[in-house]
Amino acid sequence: MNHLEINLHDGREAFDPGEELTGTVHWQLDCSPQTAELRLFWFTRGKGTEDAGVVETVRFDHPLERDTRSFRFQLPPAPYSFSGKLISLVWALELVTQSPDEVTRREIVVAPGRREVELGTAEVPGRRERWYERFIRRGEPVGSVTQAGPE
Amino acid sequence: MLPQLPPKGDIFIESERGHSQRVTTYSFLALFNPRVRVTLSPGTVSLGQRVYVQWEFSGRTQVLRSLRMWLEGREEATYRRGTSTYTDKSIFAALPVVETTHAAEIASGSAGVTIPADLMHSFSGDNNKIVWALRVEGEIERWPDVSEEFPVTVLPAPVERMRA
Repeated sequence: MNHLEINLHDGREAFDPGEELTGTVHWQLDCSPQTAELRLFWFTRGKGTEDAGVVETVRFDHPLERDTRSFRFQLPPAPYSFSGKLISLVWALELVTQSPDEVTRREIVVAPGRREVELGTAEVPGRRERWYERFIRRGEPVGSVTQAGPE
Repeated sequence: MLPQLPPKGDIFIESERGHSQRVTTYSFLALFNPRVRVTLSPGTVSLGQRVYVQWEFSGRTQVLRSLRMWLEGREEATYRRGTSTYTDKSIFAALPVVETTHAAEIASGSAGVTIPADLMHSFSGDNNKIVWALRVEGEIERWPDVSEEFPVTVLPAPVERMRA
Protein backbone atom coordinates (compact mmCIF):
# COMPACT_ATOMS: atom_id res chain seq x y z
CA MET A 1 0.00 0.00 0.00
CA ASN A 2 1.29 3.46 -0.93
CA HIS A 3 2.10 5.80 1.92
CA LEU A 4 3.37 9.41 2.02
CA GLU A 5 4.11 11.63 5.00
CA ILE A 6 5.43 15.09 5.81
CA ASN A 7 7.24 15.62 9.11
CA LEU A 8 8.09 19.06 10.42
CA HIS A 9 11.15 19.71 12.60
CA ASP A 10 10.26 19.47 16.31
CA GLY A 11 6.69 18.66 15.32
CA ARG A 12 5.93 22.36 14.90
CA GLU A 13 2.90 23.41 12.91
CA ALA A 14 2.93 27.19 13.41
CA PHE A 15 5.56 29.69 12.24
CA ASP A 16 6.30 33.39 12.17
CA PRO A 17 6.42 35.00 8.72
CA GLY A 18 9.98 35.03 7.38
CA GLU A 19 10.97 32.06 9.54
CA GLU A 20 12.80 28.98 8.25
CA LEU A 21 10.74 25.82 7.94
CA THR A 22 12.57 22.49 7.93
CA GLY A 23 11.59 18.84 8.04
CA THR A 24 11.61 15.54 6.22
CA VAL A 25 9.31 13.77 3.81
CA HIS A 26 8.95 10.02 3.57
CA TRP A 27 7.21 7.80 1.05
CA GLN A 28 6.73 4.09 0.53
CA LEU A 29 5.30 3.16 -2.87
CA ASP A 30 4.67 0.06 -5.00
CA CYS A 31 7.36 1.24 -7.41
CA SER A 32 9.81 4.12 -7.85
CA PRO A 33 7.92 7.28 -8.79
CA GLN A 34 8.91 9.26 -11.88
CA THR A 35 8.82 12.51 -9.92
CA ALA A 36 8.44 13.55 -6.30
CA GLU A 37 8.08 17.12 -5.15
CA LEU A 38 7.09 19.16 -2.13
CA ARG A 39 5.12 22.39 -2.58
CA LEU A 40 4.76 25.27 -0.16
CA PHE A 41 1.56 27.13 -0.96
CA TRP A 42 -1.47 28.97 0.38
CA PHE A 43 -5.11 28.74 -0.59
CA THR A 44 -8.39 30.35 0.43
CA ARG A 45 -11.38 28.63 1.93
CA GLY A 46 -14.86 30.02 2.44
CA LYS A 47 -17.53 31.83 0.50
CA GLY A 48 -15.41 33.16 -2.35
CA THR A 49 -14.18 31.07 -5.26
CA GLU A 50 -10.84 29.57 -4.23
CA ASP A 51 -7.61 31.47 -4.80
CA ALA A 52 -4.23 29.76 -4.41
CA GLY A 53 -0.57 30.58 -4.80
CA VAL A 54 2.44 28.24 -4.90
CA VAL A 55 5.36 29.99 -3.21
CA GLU A 56 8.12 27.40 -3.67
CA THR A 57 8.57 23.86 -4.94
CA VAL A 58 11.35 21.41 -4.03
CA ARG A 59 11.94 18.56 -6.49
CA PHE A 60 13.58 15.39 -5.16
CA ASP A 61 15.99 13.88 -7.71
CA HIS A 62 15.95 10.15 -8.51
CA PRO A 63 13.23 9.19 -6.05
CA LEU A 64 13.28 5.59 -4.88
CA GLU A 65 10.41 3.24 -4.11
CA ARG A 66 11.00 3.83 -0.41
CA ASP A 67 12.71 7.09 0.41
CA THR A 68 13.23 9.82 3.03
CA ARG A 69 14.39 13.32 2.08
CA SER A 70 14.91 16.53 4.00
CA PHE A 71 13.70 19.99 2.98
CA ARG A 72 14.11 23.61 3.95
CA PHE A 73 11.91 26.61 3.06
CA GLN A 74 12.26 30.28 3.88
CA LEU A 75 8.75 31.50 4.63
CA PRO A 76 7.72 34.79 3.00
CA PRO A 77 6.58 37.82 5.05
CA ALA A 78 2.97 37.48 3.78
CA PRO A 79 0.16 36.63 3.39
CA TYR A 80 -0.75 35.74 6.97
CA SER A 81 -2.90 32.75 7.87
CA PHE A 82 -6.26 34.21 8.82
CA SER A 83 -9.80 33.18 9.52
CA GLY A 84 -12.65 35.61 8.90
CA LYS A 85 -16.41 35.57 8.60
CA LEU A 86 -16.28 35.00 4.82
CA ILE A 87 -12.75 33.90 3.99
CA SER A 88 -9.91 31.91 5.52
CA LEU A 89 -6.38 31.80 4.18
CA VAL A 90 -4.57 28.54 4.84
CA TRP A 91 -0.90 27.67 4.35
CA ALA A 92 0.04 24.09 3.51
CA LEU A 93 2.75 21.73 2.36
CA GLU A 94 1.88 19.17 -0.28
CA LEU A 95 3.96 16.12 -1.20
CA VAL A 96 3.13 14.89 -4.71
CA THR A 97 4.45 11.86 -6.58
CA GLN A 98 3.74 10.97 -10.21
CA SER A 99 3.50 7.41 -11.56
CA PRO A 100 2.22 6.31 -9.14
CA ASP A 101 0.09 9.41 -8.54
CA GLU A 102 -0.13 10.06 -4.83
CA VAL A 103 -0.53 13.18 -2.72
CA THR A 104 -0.55 14.13 0.94
CA ARG A 105 -1.07 17.57 2.47
CA ARG A 106 -0.17 19.12 5.81
CA GLU A 107 -1.63 22.44 6.87
CA ILE A 108 0.46 24.93 8.83
CA VAL A 109 -0.01 28.40 10.34
CA VAL A 110 2.10 31.33 9.14
CA ALA A 111 1.28 34.46 11.14
CA PRO A 112 2.84 36.80 13.72
CA GLY A 113 3.15 35.16 17.13
CA ARG A 114 2.50 31.82 15.34
CA ARG A 115 -1.20 32.37 15.80
CA GLU A 116 -3.74 32.56 13.00
CA VAL A 117 -5.24 36.06 12.68
CA GLU A 118 -8.91 35.97 13.64
CA LEU A 119 -11.23 38.54 12.09
CA GLY A 120 -14.54 39.33 13.71
CA THR A 121 -17.17 41.87 12.74
CA ALA A 122 -17.10 45.58 13.51
CA GLU A 123 -19.74 48.27 13.69
CA VAL A 124 -19.22 51.46 11.71
CA PRO A 125 -18.79 54.28 14.29
CA GLY A 126 -21.67 56.73 14.74
CA ARG A 127 -23.66 55.36 11.85
CA ARG A 128 -27.10 56.91 11.43
CA GLU A 129 -29.96 54.59 10.70
CA ARG A 130 -31.47 55.21 7.28
CA TRP A 131 -35.23 55.59 7.17
CA TYR A 132 -35.75 52.37 5.19
CA GLU A 133 -33.64 50.31 7.60
CA ARG A 134 -36.38 50.55 10.20
CA PHE A 135 -38.42 48.27 7.97
CA ILE A 136 -35.75 45.65 7.38
CA ARG A 137 -34.36 45.16 10.88
CA ARG A 138 -33.76 41.50 11.57
CA GLY A 139 -36.91 39.79 12.71
CA GLU A 140 -38.27 42.92 14.37
CA PRO A 141 -41.80 43.98 13.49
CA VAL A 142 -42.46 47.53 12.35
CA GLY A 143 -44.10 49.51 15.17
CA SER A 144 -44.71 48.08 18.59
CA VAL A 145 -47.08 45.53 19.96
CA THR A 146 -48.14 45.56 23.61
CA GLN A 147 -48.99 42.12 24.81
CA ALA A 148 -51.70 41.96 27.43
CA GLY A 149 -50.99 39.54 30.24
CA PRO A 150 -52.56 38.50 33.52
CA GLU A 151 -52.45 41.32 36.04
CA MET B 1 -27.24 52.88 -36.65
CA LEU B 2 -25.52 55.10 -34.11
CA PRO B 3 -27.25 55.44 -30.72
CA GLN B 4 -28.88 58.80 -30.18
CA LEU B 5 -26.94 60.77 -27.58
CA PRO B 6 -28.78 62.83 -24.98
CA PRO B 7 -28.75 66.59 -25.46
CA LYS B 8 -25.71 68.25 -23.92
CA GLY B 9 -26.26 69.33 -20.33
CA ASP B 10 -29.22 67.01 -19.69
CA ILE B 11 -29.33 64.14 -17.23
CA PHE B 12 -28.92 60.92 -19.13
CA ILE B 13 -31.36 58.35 -17.80
CA GLU B 14 -30.19 54.90 -18.78
CA SER B 15 -33.39 53.01 -18.22
CA GLU B 16 -37.10 53.52 -18.14
CA ARG B 17 -37.29 52.16 -14.60
CA GLY B 18 -38.02 54.69 -11.88
CA HIS B 19 -35.31 53.29 -9.57
CA SER B 20 -32.53 53.94 -12.08
CA GLN B 21 -33.86 57.44 -12.69
CA ARG B 22 -33.75 58.21 -8.99
CA VAL B 23 -30.21 56.81 -8.70
CA THR B 24 -29.06 58.85 -11.67
CA THR B 25 -30.66 62.02 -10.34
CA TYR B 26 -29.19 61.35 -6.88
CA SER B 27 -25.71 60.90 -8.36
CA PHE B 28 -26.19 64.02 -10.44
CA LEU B 29 -27.08 66.12 -7.37
CA ALA B 30 -24.06 64.71 -5.54
CA LEU B 31 -21.86 66.22 -8.25
CA PHE B 32 -22.42 69.60 -6.57
CA ASN B 33 -21.27 68.33 -3.15
CA PRO B 34 -18.14 69.67 -1.45
CA ARG B 35 -14.99 67.81 -2.47
CA VAL B 36 -12.60 66.37 0.07
CA ARG B 37 -8.86 66.00 -0.25
CA VAL B 38 -7.20 63.55 2.13
CA THR B 39 -3.50 63.05 2.86
CA LEU B 40 -2.10 60.10 4.77
CA SER B 41 1.30 60.17 6.40
CA PRO B 42 3.41 58.17 6.32
CA GLY B 43 2.46 57.21 2.77
CA THR B 44 3.29 53.55 3.41
CA VAL B 45 1.24 52.07 6.23
CA SER B 46 1.84 48.76 7.98
CA LEU B 47 0.06 46.85 10.73
CA GLY B 48 0.75 48.18 14.23
CA GLN B 49 1.64 51.63 12.90
CA ARG B 50 0.10 55.03 13.70
CA VAL B 51 -1.18 56.96 10.69
CA TYR B 52 -2.00 60.66 10.48
CA VAL B 53 -4.94 61.72 8.33
CA GLN B 54 -5.24 65.30 7.09
CA TRP B 55 -8.41 66.45 5.31
CA GLU B 56 -9.56 69.57 3.55
CA PHE B 57 -12.93 70.25 1.95
CA SER B 58 -13.41 72.60 -0.95
CA GLY B 59 -16.60 73.96 -2.54
CA ARG B 60 -19.84 74.49 -0.56
CA THR B 61 -18.30 73.42 2.75
CA GLN B 62 -20.91 75.34 4.77
CA VAL B 63 -23.67 72.88 3.79
CA LEU B 64 -22.02 70.05 5.71
CA ARG B 65 -23.81 69.40 9.03
CA SER B 66 -21.47 66.67 10.30
CA LEU B 67 -18.40 64.72 9.32
CA ARG B 68 -17.48 61.14 10.09
CA MET B 69 -14.25 59.56 8.99
CA TRP B 70 -13.00 56.08 9.77
CA LEU B 71 -10.48 53.54 8.57
CA GLU B 72 -12.30 50.43 7.48
CA GLY B 73 -10.95 46.90 7.03
CA ARG B 74 -13.20 44.37 5.33
CA GLU B 75 -13.28 40.96 3.71
CA GLU B 76 -14.61 40.71 0.16
CA ALA B 77 -15.50 37.29 -1.25
CA THR B 78 -16.55 36.95 -4.89
CA TYR B 79 -18.35 33.84 -6.09
CA ARG B 80 -20.49 32.70 -8.99
CA ARG B 81 -23.96 31.31 -8.69
CA GLY B 82 -25.43 30.23 -12.01
CA THR B 83 -24.54 32.89 -14.52
CA SER B 84 -24.29 35.71 -11.97
CA THR B 85 -21.31 36.88 -9.94
CA TYR B 86 -21.77 38.10 -6.37
CA THR B 87 -19.44 39.80 -3.89
CA ASP B 88 -20.15 39.54 -0.17
CA LYS B 89 -18.49 41.94 2.26
CA SER B 90 -17.85 41.76 5.98
CA ILE B 91 -16.31 44.63 7.96
CA PHE B 92 -13.79 43.45 10.58
CA ALA B 93 -12.37 46.84 11.60
CA ALA B 94 -13.83 50.34 11.75
CA LEU B 95 -11.27 52.61 13.41
CA PRO B 96 -12.66 56.09 14.15
CA VAL B 97 -10.60 58.99 12.83
CA VAL B 98 -12.98 61.90 13.44
CA GLU B 99 -16.64 62.55 14.20
CA THR B 100 -17.62 66.20 14.46
CA THR B 101 -20.40 68.72 13.91
CA HIS B 102 -18.16 71.83 14.26
CA ALA B 103 -17.94 73.75 11.00
CA ALA B 104 -14.24 74.62 11.40
CA GLU B 105 -13.29 71.00 12.15
CA ILE B 106 -15.35 69.81 9.21
CA ALA B 107 -13.67 72.17 6.74
CA SER B 108 -10.15 70.98 7.53
CA GLY B 109 -8.26 69.14 10.21
CA SER B 110 -6.04 66.23 11.10
CA ALA B 111 -6.19 63.20 13.39
CA GLY B 112 -4.23 60.07 14.10
CA VAL B 113 -5.28 56.44 14.12
CA THR B 114 -3.34 53.31 15.08
CA ILE B 115 -3.85 50.14 13.05
CA PRO B 116 -3.88 47.20 15.48
CA ALA B 117 -1.01 44.78 14.91
CA ASP B 118 -3.22 41.71 15.35
CA LEU B 119 -5.33 42.33 12.23
CA MET B 120 -4.87 41.32 8.61
CA HIS B 121 -2.88 43.28 6.03
CA SER B 122 -4.27 44.14 2.59
CA PHE B 123 -4.61 41.07 0.41
CA SER B 124 -5.78 40.81 -3.16
CA GLY B 125 -6.56 37.43 -4.70
CA ASP B 126 -8.59 37.04 -7.88
CA ASN B 127 -11.75 36.28 -5.88
CA ASN B 128 -10.93 37.03 -2.26
CA LYS B 129 -9.68 40.29 -0.85
CA ILE B 130 -8.82 42.07 2.35
CA VAL B 131 -9.54 45.71 1.64
CA TRP B 132 -8.53 48.69 3.77
CA ALA B 133 -10.06 52.06 2.97
CA LEU B 134 -10.52 55.47 4.51
CA ARG B 135 -14.26 56.22 4.56
CA VAL B 136 -15.56 59.79 4.61
CA GLU B 137 -19.21 60.63 5.22
CA GLY B 138 -20.53 64.17 5.42
CA GLU B 139 -24.19 64.82 6.20
CA ILE B 140 -26.06 67.45 4.19
CA GLU B 141 -29.66 68.33 4.95
CA ARG B 142 -32.18 67.61 2.18
CA TRP B 143 -29.40 66.71 -0.23
CA PRO B 144 -27.34 63.58 -1.03
CA ASP B 145 -24.62 63.10 1.61
CA VAL B 146 -20.91 63.19 0.87
CA SER B 147 -19.77 59.57 0.78
CA GLU B 148 -16.26 58.86 -0.37
CA GLU B 149 -13.90 55.94 -0.07
CA PHE B 150 -10.12 56.11 -0.45
CA PRO B 151 -8.33 52.75 -0.72
CA VAL B 152 -5.34 52.36 1.60
CA THR B 153 -2.74 49.62 1.26
CA VAL B 154 -1.88 48.21 4.69
CA LEU B 155 1.35 46.19 4.59
CA PRO B 156 2.26 43.32 6.93
CA ALA B 157 4.41 44.25 9.91
CA PRO B 158 8.12 44.26 9.00
CA VAL B 159 9.68 40.88 9.78
CA GLU B 160 12.41 42.57 11.92
CA ARG B 161 9.72 44.16 14.15
CA MET B 162 8.06 40.76 14.56
CA ARG B 163 11.36 39.17 15.69
CA ALA B 164 11.94 42.01 18.19
